[in-house]
Amino acid sequence: MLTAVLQKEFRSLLVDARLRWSAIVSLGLFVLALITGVSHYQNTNRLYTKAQEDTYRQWLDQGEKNPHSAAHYGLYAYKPVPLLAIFDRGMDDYLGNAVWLEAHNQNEVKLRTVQDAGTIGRFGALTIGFIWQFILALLIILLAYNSLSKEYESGTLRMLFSTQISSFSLLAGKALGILKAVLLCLYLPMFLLLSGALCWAGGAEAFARILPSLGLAAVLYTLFYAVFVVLSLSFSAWLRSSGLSLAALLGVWAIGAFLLPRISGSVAMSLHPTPSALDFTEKVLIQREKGLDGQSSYEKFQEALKAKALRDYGVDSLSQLPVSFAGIALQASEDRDWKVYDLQYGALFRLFQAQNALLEKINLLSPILAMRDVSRSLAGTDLYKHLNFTRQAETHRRLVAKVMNTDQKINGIKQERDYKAGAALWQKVPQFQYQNQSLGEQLQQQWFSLLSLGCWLLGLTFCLYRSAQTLHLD
Amino acid sequence: MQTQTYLPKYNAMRNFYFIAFYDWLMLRANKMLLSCFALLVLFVAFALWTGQQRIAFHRTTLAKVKATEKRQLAEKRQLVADLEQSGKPFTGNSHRDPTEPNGAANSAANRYFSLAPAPLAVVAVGQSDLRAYYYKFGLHKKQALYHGEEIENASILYNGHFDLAFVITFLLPLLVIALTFNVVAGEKERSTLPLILASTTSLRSVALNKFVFRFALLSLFFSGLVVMGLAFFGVSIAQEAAGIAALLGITTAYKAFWFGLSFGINSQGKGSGFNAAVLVGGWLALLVVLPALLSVAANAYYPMPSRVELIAETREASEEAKKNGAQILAQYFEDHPELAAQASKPVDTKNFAASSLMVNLEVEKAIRPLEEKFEAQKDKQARLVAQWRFVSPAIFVQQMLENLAATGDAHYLDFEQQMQAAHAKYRAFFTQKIIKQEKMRAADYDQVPQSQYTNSPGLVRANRAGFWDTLWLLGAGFVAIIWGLLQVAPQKMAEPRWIEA
Repeated sequence: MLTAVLQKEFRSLLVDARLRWSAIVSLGLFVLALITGVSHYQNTNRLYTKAQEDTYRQWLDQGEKNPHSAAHYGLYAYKPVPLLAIFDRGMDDYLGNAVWLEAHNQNEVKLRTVQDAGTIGRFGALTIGFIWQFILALLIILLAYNSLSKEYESGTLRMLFSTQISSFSLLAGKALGILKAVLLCLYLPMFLLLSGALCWAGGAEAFARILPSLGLAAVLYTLFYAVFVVLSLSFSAWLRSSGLSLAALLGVWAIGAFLLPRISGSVAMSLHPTPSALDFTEKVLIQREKGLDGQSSYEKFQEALKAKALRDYGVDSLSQLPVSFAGIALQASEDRDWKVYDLQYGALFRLFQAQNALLEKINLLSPILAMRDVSRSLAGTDLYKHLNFTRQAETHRRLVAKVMNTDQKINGIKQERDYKAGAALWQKVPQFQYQNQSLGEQLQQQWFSLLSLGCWLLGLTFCLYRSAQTLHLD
Repeated sequence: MQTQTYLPKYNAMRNFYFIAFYDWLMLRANKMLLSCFALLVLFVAFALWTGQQRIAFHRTTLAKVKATEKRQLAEKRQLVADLEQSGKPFTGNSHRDPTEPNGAANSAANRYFSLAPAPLAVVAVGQSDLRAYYYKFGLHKKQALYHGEEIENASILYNGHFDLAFVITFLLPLLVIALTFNVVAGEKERSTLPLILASTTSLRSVALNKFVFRFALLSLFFSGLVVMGLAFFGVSIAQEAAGIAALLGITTAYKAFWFGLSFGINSQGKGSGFNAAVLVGGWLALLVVLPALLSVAANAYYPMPSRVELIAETREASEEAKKNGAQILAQYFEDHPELAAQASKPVDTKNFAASSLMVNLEVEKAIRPLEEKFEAQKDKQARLVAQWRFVSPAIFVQQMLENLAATGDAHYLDFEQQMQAAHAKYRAFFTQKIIKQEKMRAADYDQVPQSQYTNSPGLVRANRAGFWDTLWLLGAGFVAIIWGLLQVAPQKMAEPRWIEA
């Protein structure tokens, strides 16, 4: 019986104008989003690869100079655009893409694309992720809102019950029938097109690398659509009126997609207020000048350093040192600053994570938001990946400082700051390469959103089961 | 009972009165109105609270900036005065020497240029979360100025803010849809339509009067709510009367557009489900899809050059500038201040200052063409959006609200232009002293140029464009109403679609 209901539901949707229009609208938007996504990926990646090479070439070609001057000149680290950004650009436009790695300062990651976009940019971008998370969910509601209530309204439920079908088979059959239509007619064509585009834009090797993420995304989106089918069907069975069911479902959709994210942002900001850039910079400066305990000073620090160097090498004056004191002093001041940065940026990132944890809790109220977060995490376009990039860039910056200061210390004896190094030293610093997070790490970061999705699916299936038990004619 | 004496004379008025009265009773009975209005109160209160939080944050930060500026200037002025009196030289980091114009410009006499939140800033966050609202002046390159943005969690930025502009552009239409999607279809579904069709009052008149009544009710309620909310959050209603009137005018016209659209759809005689689906589909298209498409088009027609390119170019130009003529001092340009002072050779800071200044100016000149390309593309994109903003009322309603709040693109562009002029003036003051190798005296500290941001007259013109936008809203709403009226023309009433439930 269940298969009969499934087939009937599927076939009747196939001839339904709603499905035709849904397919036309969603595919039309999808193709546009795919073209923009691919060209964005190709343009940005070409530019970034070139910029990454340029900055390294500039570094190697900087000529003879003191190692510390070279560390000041520094280089830039650029965040690569992941191949899966074609499908979900996520927060990329809102995150910076480049950071200057220079001596002494942990700079912030700058260049947010959205800054150049103006008011219009804030309405959101047309991406495949947006179509799959927001528009397809809406289309499912439009396809399924009356699947049971119409049986009530036209009196066909009476006939259905006369066939002795169990009410759960009826509901489950309908749900599977609708899901089949959605997956086969809306989702699958898009997914195949996307896979083709990804393979074409990234090449076979890169495509093979993202295959696990893509496959997982496919499974999760299927579950997500199942959530919406079951949700619509439950409302339809529960409210028994097509009009009411549609109005309620549209309300749920609008709240979940548009209202909750903004409310959660305001709440997160007031519960965990972000410090102003002014306060943050001031704190860092004071700690760098006066030390973590607030007792030290530049002079005291230098004195202590000199005393320690003399003691360590058992000499009476700096000129007798077997190494360059400048190298020691520079590395010591870096070591001290790193502690400050670890402390301050650590606190800032923990604050961001606390804010995000709150946003993720609110995802529990909206499967759309949970799916959005999981999707952009799989695509590698979320805040966690960004923080990961920030950390790697900072590690690279510290590596540059260390290599330069060590060279100054060993080879800069007597000459101190007049010592000059050349290309041989610059080459000791490798080119910055961002290391992607593993799929496991990504999933770990998104466990709460995944849990939310699971809860929704299980909870709604239970609701459907309950509706089946209470399904009656009058 | 004055109304009674007038009523017989105005048949239309009497009609409206009765229909409105019974509609009122019905709305009151089914709790729809109550829930809509309760939601609206919550939304407006939350939105204004959110806006208020952000403004308070900006105001606190600006107050701190002002205090720092004042304290620093007074301290250094005193220090220089003391040194002058005692005749002693300055001991300390030579790059921060307050008696040297270079040290004064870069640290001792820093000036800030700031944009205080406008009185109606609570209405829309606009671009205020992305753009810098104060700049710290020094001698460095113009490009170094653009590092003053606030620290923001990108997840929150991405979600957007729950401000009054969001309530008006996004949520108000949804409430209008909720209030009206079944005005006619509801009669059919409750089987009361034949009664109306059989009465002397036409369905057209009943439907239209109901819409007018609900529109008036929502407009009055929302306007009152906004005025009270603004007053509660400390906006002076009397002083901001013009702005508030404009705000309410735009909002009312926008509501009229959505009521008109809903009337047009309602008048097609379809079921309430169809109406709701079409209206929400229209909402999604107008508020989300079309703006996104316009954004795609703007980027495709006038692609922005990459900022990444700008970085590479700036570095290339810096290298070039240093090689040409300033090689000797280039080393110091990058050098660490403390170490430069400790180096075995004495450092002539005056020369260092002059050369680093020269290099900076050279670099600015070199990358000017690329910057101009940026500005030109940005300008072209803005023009394209301005021309095509009529594809979606959401775009220009949002822009108008941001203009009222003084947080839109136009205001920030104006602010940045004035900032650059002020920075040039600030730098010119010190450049002269550096080139002439003059010292900074205590009295000079009073002469350091300070500039204040004032709205340019160009911004008023931007507001004037709002007239056409409002006209568009009213016109489109009117067309939708006429379309609806034609659909429910009396001769078509006999059609089965009107009677069959």
